[in-house]
Amino acid sequence: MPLDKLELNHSAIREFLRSPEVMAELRRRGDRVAARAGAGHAVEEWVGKNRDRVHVYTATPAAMEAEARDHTLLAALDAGRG
Amino acid sequence: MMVEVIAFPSAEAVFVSYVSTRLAARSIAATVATKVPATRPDQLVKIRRIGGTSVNMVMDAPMVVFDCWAPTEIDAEALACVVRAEVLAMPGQSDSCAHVYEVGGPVNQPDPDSNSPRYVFTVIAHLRGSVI
Repeated sequence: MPLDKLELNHSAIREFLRSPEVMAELRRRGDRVAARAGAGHAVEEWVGKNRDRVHVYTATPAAMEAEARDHTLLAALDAGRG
Repeated sequence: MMVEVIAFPSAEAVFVSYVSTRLAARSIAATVATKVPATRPDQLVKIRRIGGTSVNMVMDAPMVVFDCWAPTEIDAEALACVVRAEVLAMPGQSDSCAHVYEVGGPVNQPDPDSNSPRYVFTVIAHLRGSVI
């Protein structure tokens, strides 16, 4: 039977995207990116208004210099796939 | 049963060749390479693949960074502007390139070693593979 109308439950979606399970998965991916980028990279997590987020960043001057010279962190992005 | 084996082109080779040709056509004297030479030329475009995976069996999607150096900040930005425009126009001018989209627009990021003016931008390109 064809669907006439699809109604999304936005509050349930928001609840899912802000769940500990989603955060754990994001953290796992963020940790992989940071590990691939090498020493001096760190991961920060926070729960946003609509979804969980993680932030991988250069935490030391040496890592910042490596990013500026060789785009180390950008090159590590693929480690966050799958 | 014979299976077709598809190989993707070298993204760096494709882009170095393309950008070199396009800059020469515009009479812009810039070196285009994947590494910084021992003595860096006044105008240099360094092109490096830093990631990306295949989209399907016949299409690769490399992520490519373009570092554009010039003697002054204004010249470095102008060089990056031309290279960026040419790269974004590549799908209409190159058989191997089906699509280009920008993932990081131009950034004023001076060289960390020499503090020389440098602009950097990043794209993902869809490059067609061929049977080998």
